[in-house]
Amino acid sequence: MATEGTMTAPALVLIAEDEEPIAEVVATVVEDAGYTPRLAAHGREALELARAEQPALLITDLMMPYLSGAELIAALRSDAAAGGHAPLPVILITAAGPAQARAAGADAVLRKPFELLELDALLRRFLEAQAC
Amino acid sequence: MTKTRGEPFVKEREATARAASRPGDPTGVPNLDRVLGGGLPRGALVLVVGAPGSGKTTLALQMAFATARAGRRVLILTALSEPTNKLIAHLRAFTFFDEDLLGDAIQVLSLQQFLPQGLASTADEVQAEVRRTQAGLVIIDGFRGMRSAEGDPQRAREFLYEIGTALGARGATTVITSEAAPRDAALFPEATTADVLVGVHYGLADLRQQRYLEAIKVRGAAPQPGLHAMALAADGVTVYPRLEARVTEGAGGEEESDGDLTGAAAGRDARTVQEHQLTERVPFALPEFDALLGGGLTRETSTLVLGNPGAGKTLLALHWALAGIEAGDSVVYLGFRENRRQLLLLADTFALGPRLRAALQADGGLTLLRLPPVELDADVVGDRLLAALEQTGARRLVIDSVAELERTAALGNPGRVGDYLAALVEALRARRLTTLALKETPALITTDLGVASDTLSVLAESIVVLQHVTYGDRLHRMLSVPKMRFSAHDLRLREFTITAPTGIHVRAPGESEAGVLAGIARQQGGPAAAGEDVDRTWPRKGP
Repeated sequence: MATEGTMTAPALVLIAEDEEPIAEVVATVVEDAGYTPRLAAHGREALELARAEQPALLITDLMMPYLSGAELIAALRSDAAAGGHAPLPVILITAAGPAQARAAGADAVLRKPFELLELDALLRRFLEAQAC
Repeated sequence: MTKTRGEPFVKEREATARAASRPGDPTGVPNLDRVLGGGLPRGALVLVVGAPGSGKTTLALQMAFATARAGRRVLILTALSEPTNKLIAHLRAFTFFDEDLLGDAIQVLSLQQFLPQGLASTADEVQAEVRRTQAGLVIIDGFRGMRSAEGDPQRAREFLYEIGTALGARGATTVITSEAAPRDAALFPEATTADVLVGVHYGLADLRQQRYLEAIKVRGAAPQPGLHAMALAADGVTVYPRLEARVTEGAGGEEESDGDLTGAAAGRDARTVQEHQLTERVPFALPEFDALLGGGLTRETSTLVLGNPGAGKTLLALHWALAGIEAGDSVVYLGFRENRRQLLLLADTFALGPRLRAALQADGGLTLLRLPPVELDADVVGDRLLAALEQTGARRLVIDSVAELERTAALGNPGRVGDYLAALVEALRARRLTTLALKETPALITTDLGVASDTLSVLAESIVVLQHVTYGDRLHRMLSVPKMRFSAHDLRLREFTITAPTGIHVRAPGESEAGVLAGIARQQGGPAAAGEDVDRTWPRKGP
C-alpha cells in the first residue's frame, strides 16, 4: 500500500477514458490498490487536469474525442521538457496494434481486453518505483 | 445547431448532390460496388438498415478497413451502449481486421458521452471530431438507439440532414447503420435524407439463415435492382448479385444484350454469334456421334443432355470436355455431385483416367468447380461460375447437373427457376461459351422416348437424349437428338454402348442388332427408324 504508516495523501492517478464503464472499472482497480483515481472523459479534459493537479501516473485510452491518447502524451511530454521536470509515466490501454501503441510513446501498454490483475501489477510497479 | 429547410439547406443539399455525382469509392465488399452501380459516391450519406444480426455493422466496418487501407482516414462512432472494445473484439474475428490501422488510420469513439446533450449537440461534436481526425469516411453504428433516445423523430431527421450536408460538403462519406426493417415505412422520413439506402434482409428459409442485400436507392447511379444474396463469413460480407440483374445490367432492355460482358470475354472478337454457330463445330471426338450432329455441337450454343440415372451423361460430358482440352479449348466443369476423386474413378474405369489427370493439372486446361449440393444459393453458384469462366477464359462449360441449379433457384421462390435459367443462358451466350448441361430424367428405365418440355429444354439450342430402353428381353442404351437449332442433324435413333476401355461408343446404324432400332421406333408408334428420315433441311456448313 502506498500510504500505509504515513500521513501523506495517496498518489493521484489520472484516468483518461471516454467510455464510462471502462473508466469506472479502471478507477476501481486504482482505488483497490490504495491510490486516488481522477477521471477525465476525453483527452482535452485529461490535459487540463494533468496540468492542474500533478498526478503521479496517467492511465489513458488511445482513441478519445477532442484529443487522442497519443496527442495527450505528446502534449505532456512537451510540458515536461519545457518545465525541465521528469515526464509523467503513462500506461496506455488500447485495442490498437503494437505499432500504434509504440508510436503513442507510452511507458507501458495494456491491450484491450485486459486482465484487471495486469493493470494492478503495472500501476503498482510504476507508483511503488516512484515512492522509493 | 439545428437547421430548418431554408435556402442555405438547399445549397448544402446541392453540394451533397454534386459530391454524390463524383466517381464512387470502392467499398471493399466483394460485388457491392457493382450492385451499387459503381461504389460509394464520395460525400454521400449512406443509410444501411437491417434487423439485428443481419450483418449491417460488419458490412460498414469492412468498408472502414478497406477505406483505411486505401489511405483515407476513418472515424467510427458507436452509439451503442456497449463499450467500443466489444465492437473491436467482434471485429478481430474477421480477416479484414488489421489492428495496426486502429488508433491512427481508424479511430473508434463512443458517442455515449455526447448523446445526453441531445442530437443537435451530438451533430456538432461529430463534425468537430471529423475535422480533428480528417476522416474521409465516417461510420455511425447504431442510429436507432440515438433516434429513440431523442424521442422526436424530427430531431433524428434533422441530425441526418446536419451530418449529411456538413460532412458531404467536406468530401467525407458518412455511413449510418440502423436497426429497422429495410422497407419499414416509419423509416421513410430518414430515407429521403440519404443519398444511398441499403437494406439488409435477414430471415429464415426453412432451417437456414438467409441474408439478402438491396440497394434501395443510390442517387446519381443505376444500382442493380432487387435482392442480392449476401454471405457473412470469416472474410466478412460478400454480396452475390442476382444473376438476372447482372445479365440485364446496362442492357436497357435491348434484345441483343452483352450482359455483364467484361474481362477476357469482352476482349474477344466481335463476330456475331450467328456466324460462330453456323461455321464452327465443337466435337465430342466420338466419330459416329459427331457425324450425327453434323460435325459436333454448334459453337456458342447450349445443349441439354437429358438422361435417366446411369444412362452415361457424365461420361459423355467427360468425353466432350477432354476433346475440348485436346483441341485447345479451356473447359470449366461445374459439378455438384461427383468430386474430383469420384470423377477420376469414373474416368479410370475407362481409358480416360490419364487424360483427365493431365487436364486437371495446373495448366491442364480443365477447371473443376465443385460445389457440394448442400444449402447452396443460386446467386452464389452463378457468381462463382461466372468468376471461374472469366478467370480461365473458358470456351466450353459442363454443368452437371442443371437439376441442382433448378432446385437451388427454387428455394424460397419456386417461380424464379425460369428467369434464373434464362439469365444463365444469356450470361453464357454473352461470354461466347459452348455449354453442355446435363439433367436427369426421372424414370430409370423406359419404353417411352418422350422428353418433357421444361425451361431449359426451351432455352437450349440443342437437346440430346440418352435413355435405357427395354426392347425384347434386354435393355438398350439409346441416343437421339430431337432438337438442334441452326444445324442440320441426323434424326435417327442410335444405339450406344459403354464399355471399358473405350467409354462411349455410338454405333453406326448398321452396327445394331438387326431389327432393334426399327423395333424400338415401332414401339413408340413413330416413323423414325434406321435408314429413314435424315433431317437435312439446314444447309450443311463447316467441317
